[in-house]
Amino acid sequence: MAVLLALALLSPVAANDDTYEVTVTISGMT
Amino acid sequence: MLKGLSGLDGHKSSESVDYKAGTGDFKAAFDAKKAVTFDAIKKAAGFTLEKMRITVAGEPSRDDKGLWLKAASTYALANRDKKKDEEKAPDVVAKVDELLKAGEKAIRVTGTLTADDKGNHTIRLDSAEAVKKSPEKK
Repeated sequence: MAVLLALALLSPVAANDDTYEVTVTISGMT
Repeated sequence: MLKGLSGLDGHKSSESVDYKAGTGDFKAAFDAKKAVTFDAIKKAAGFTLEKMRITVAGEPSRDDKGLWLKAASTYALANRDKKKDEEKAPDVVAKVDELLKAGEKAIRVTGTLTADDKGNHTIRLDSAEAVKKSPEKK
């Protein structure tokens, strides 16, 4: 999980008219 | 998870928004010109998909089959179910109809994305607004 959070910090999402944004809620991660 | 999303065509960026007790929210942005399907995102996400929300801009239209938003993919638009603490769900479909009537050619909607077994996408709407070309804001 720490790896995921580290990756997240490296690639912030910036939504604008040239993009669309998807948020997924995932369960079952350990 | 993030690696899976980043492998999708049109992926621009992604981040972890929240994580608690085995459940997490992950946000990804995609190129507006690239259509990424619900199934592709679900597969890339792995684990158990609880919910998928989307914010997307496109051209609204209405015909005898329903209300639509045309972006890289075409989405059917529908009102979401009411939440437990609401008397009734907001009538966002009526708002989109008003925007159409006002001649708006581009709107941005936010809602829960679903797909049927034929790959038809539907957005259960939380909100809709006109996309203004000028930088001015209310």
